[in-house]
Amino acid sequence: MKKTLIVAMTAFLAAAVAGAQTRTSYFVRNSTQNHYLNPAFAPDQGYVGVPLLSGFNINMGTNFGPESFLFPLSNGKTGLFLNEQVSSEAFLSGLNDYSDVNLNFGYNIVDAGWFTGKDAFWTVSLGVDVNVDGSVPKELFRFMKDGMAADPQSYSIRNLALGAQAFGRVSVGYSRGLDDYVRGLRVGGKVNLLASVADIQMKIDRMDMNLSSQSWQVSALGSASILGGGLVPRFNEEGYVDGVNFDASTLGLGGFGMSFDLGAEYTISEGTPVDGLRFSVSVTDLGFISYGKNKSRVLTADGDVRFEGFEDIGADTDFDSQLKSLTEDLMMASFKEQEVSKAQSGALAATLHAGVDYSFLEDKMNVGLLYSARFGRFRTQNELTLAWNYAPVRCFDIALSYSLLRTHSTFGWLITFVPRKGVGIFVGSDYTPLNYTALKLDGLKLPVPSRKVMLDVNFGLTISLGGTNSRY
Amino acid sequence: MKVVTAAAVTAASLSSCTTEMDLSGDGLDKNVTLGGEALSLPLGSTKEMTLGDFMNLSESDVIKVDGNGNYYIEFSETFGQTVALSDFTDQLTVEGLSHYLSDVSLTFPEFGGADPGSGELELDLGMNESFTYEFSFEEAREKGLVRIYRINLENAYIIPDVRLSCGSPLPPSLRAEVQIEVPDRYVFEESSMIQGNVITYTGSVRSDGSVDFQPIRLASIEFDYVEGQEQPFTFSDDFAVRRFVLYVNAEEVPAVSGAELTASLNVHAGDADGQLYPISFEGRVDVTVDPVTETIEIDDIPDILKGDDVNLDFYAPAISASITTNSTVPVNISAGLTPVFAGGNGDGLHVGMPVRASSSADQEQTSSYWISNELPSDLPSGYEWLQADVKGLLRRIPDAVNVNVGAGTDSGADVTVDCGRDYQITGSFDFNIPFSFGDGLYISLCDTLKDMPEIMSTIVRSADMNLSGEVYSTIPVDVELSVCFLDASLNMLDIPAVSQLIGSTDSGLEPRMTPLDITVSRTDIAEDIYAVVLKYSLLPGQEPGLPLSDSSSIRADLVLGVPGGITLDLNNKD
Repeated sequence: MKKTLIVAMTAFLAAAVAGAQTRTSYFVRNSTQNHYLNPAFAPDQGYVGVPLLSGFNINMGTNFGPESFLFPLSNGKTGLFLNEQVSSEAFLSGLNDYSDVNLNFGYNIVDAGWFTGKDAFWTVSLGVDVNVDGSVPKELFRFMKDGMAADPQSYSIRNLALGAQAFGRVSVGYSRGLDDYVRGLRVGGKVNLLASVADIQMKIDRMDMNLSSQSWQVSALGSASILGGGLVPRFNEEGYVDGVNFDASTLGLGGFGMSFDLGAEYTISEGTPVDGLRFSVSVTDLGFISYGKNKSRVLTADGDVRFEGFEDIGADTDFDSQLKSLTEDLMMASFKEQEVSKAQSGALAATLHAGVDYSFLEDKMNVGLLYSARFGRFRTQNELTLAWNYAPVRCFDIALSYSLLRTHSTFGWLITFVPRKGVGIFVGSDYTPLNYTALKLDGLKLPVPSRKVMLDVNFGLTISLGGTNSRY
Repeated sequence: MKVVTAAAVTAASLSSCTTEMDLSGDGLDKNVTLGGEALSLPLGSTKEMTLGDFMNLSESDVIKVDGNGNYYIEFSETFGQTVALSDFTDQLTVEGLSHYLSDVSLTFPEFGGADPGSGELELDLGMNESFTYEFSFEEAREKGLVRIYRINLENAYIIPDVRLSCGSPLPPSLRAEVQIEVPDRYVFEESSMIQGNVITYTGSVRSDGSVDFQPIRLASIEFDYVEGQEQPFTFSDDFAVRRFVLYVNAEEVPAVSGAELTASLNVHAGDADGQLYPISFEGRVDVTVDPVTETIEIDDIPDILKGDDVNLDFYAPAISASITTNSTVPVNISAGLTPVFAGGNGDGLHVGMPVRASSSADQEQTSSYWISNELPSDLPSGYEWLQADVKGLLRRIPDAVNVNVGAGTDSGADVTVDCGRDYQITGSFDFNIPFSFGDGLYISLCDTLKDMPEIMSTIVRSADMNLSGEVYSTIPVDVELSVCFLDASLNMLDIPAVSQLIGSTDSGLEPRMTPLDITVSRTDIAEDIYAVVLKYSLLPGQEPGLPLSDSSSIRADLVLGVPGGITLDLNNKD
């Protein structure tokens, strides 16, 4: 069973290629998916996604990899970072200030686009998105690794965050060329109606720990929110959170919202040497989801926990329960529920794209530079992507890309086949690692990105509907 | 197409597998070390363990704690005695004076028709006679009368008894006068009838010939005592009737002229029944009462104090005695105290305690004594110290103490004895025995801490465990703290026992701090640790005689340290 699972995962990742919203597709002129990145973009012809296979993407990104936490030992085995043979310096030097995890899953159930009028392109889609974000400060790992390297020992942990969001989306987009006004200008917009299942967020803004043989003191300031259903906090007798339960009966639509995607592109075509140079900019996911107050739970932590030992240790002392109580006090007890007097809103992670590309060889090849900024809830992720596209024929395009900021050891690629009529396909990835660490599992060698796990998979099938883009 | 192929080849050539990590079963070392080099957790403070915890001492009928918190053993016994002096009522009751004098006669004068004149005629019966009254207190001597200075009499009167008889009716105006001379030692109630040692009675003669005299109360009799000589208790006193005359109105004489009148005279002194009853007397008595013996069973002494391995030092034992009496006679109490052990009686102790006399039999007088080897610096107010070898009496805790109490009057003291009452003497002996550890002390106490968390077993299996911190002791002797470990069946685990000496306090008040440093070596124990046994052993003190105080205690602030951290094997799901 274990082997089956590993093989399945490997196959999935191998097929993983993808990009319903892959940045590599941004400059692909005939892409049926890049309007998700910039609603001004439009393909050469209309399309409709193959039902249930119209497009999905899985995107997982970390700024650490297995080599961050696994180390070769002197006995030839692989050791965890907490192994005593692994020095603190060796472990911590391989970590960024924050170890970030992003996991996004997008699935389009319905996806279609078509032209109306002279140069108006409409899109409609129905899909779901699940986003998980986490950010763990290096100081926390230093605490785990070093513990009490000295007496006393202090740690100051900042911005430990974890969040998850799941919502459905119905989108209607419209893109139109404005050549009548400004030659080469095209703008577009998209309205997304959102229905959320849950939005969970926990953030420790500050956690100071002072550990000594005299006392252990933890001072924490944080907040958490559980919007929607699914998870229900559990409280101890003092009203502090001592755990979280999953309650299926609370699942359902918990919040509703709206977001907008706005975009524009401008292609120089004034008979100058730089004709074919295109500038584009967009903002997506500009909106929010609101949750009724009866669907909202807000928790805050602002207090000190100081442990100076048990009092009156004797034959009657119940050490087991005292330790459990201590653990609860230290880890969770300082979260307490606050009264919610009004509806709560959760902003979406808006993304800014700004690109410039230049096509040549009669528009068969182009190169571009794309700047992206995702304004996440806990951290803003910037990325700069160089892209090269080659379309020997109009219905087929191959693209390569290289992203500079988040990692240096991946490349992107995308194959797009969009015939004038018939079934098309797109498959690709923004981050295909170049350096792998082979993880040996029960005889199988599973390649895993060595330093940073940047994986994304983008895949979809479309059926071309014809129509035309005025540019051709 | 060439371009596509070139791009694909380029991309493939850039991709490489740089390292290989074996995550298979044997390839992954799942040992993790948590906590760092100086991992230490403040465990907190132990309960303050007092000597009472060590010795299972608690205040009881026998074990007490004084105001300074020092332990002492206390037991007591009460007694009661009656000094019966009522016997003296009988022994000092004697036959009173009753002396009959010879009858005398006279004939009323004859006037032969002549005028007898007016006024009163005196008719002297010519009586002048002495007589002796004897009595003895010899029986009282046998009962303890040593001296007597004075005896106070109850309802004793001295009075002459005159009877007149005549062939003719006695003249109505006839009256009699008798003068009695009494010894000096007889003390009468003050009266105008008494001149010196002569009492003059005057009374009218009744028609039946008796005379109505006013009796004179005999209050007491005084006795002489010559220092250095034995006082005789047989007494002989001379009385005399010096005058016996009649008076009659001359006018009435013709009616009885020539008639013969006979007069008889008795002298009585005593109660109505002729006895002299004593109320009290002054003198010296020597009265003893039969001793009483009481046994004090000393129960509730913890076995630990009687154990063979316990050597206690009763450093300042004392007996406080409180004796209360209404006796107006000083009483001497004699107490014999004898410890009783299983193997026989120990050396006894005898003490004598004079008890002050009460000023009145209606009032009580209490005498308090503090009996000890040495005069205490804080002798309680109102107590008189008596030196006695109480330490010798109580070298160790006896099973019982026999108390033999005798009482006797002080025959060397002049006293006033109320004859009619018995004096009560009540008292108590309170044994106060503060105790300390002796040279051979060895007492141990185990404090078993159960339900240890599983992490402790993990720690012991993975690393050396250090128990550090500070131990504060106000116990006047050294304490050895040792630690051992038990499994769930309370069997000793195979972990080497460790121990440390905790120093004794110097002052007895300020706690002495001893840094704790006990290291439990890493051991591959088969069973988990269920309980930790902390064994405290009190060791012989350097200076025996230090008091055992309830406030003497030991307390530890503990820090659990795991140098090098805790190494866990994640393969071990336990």
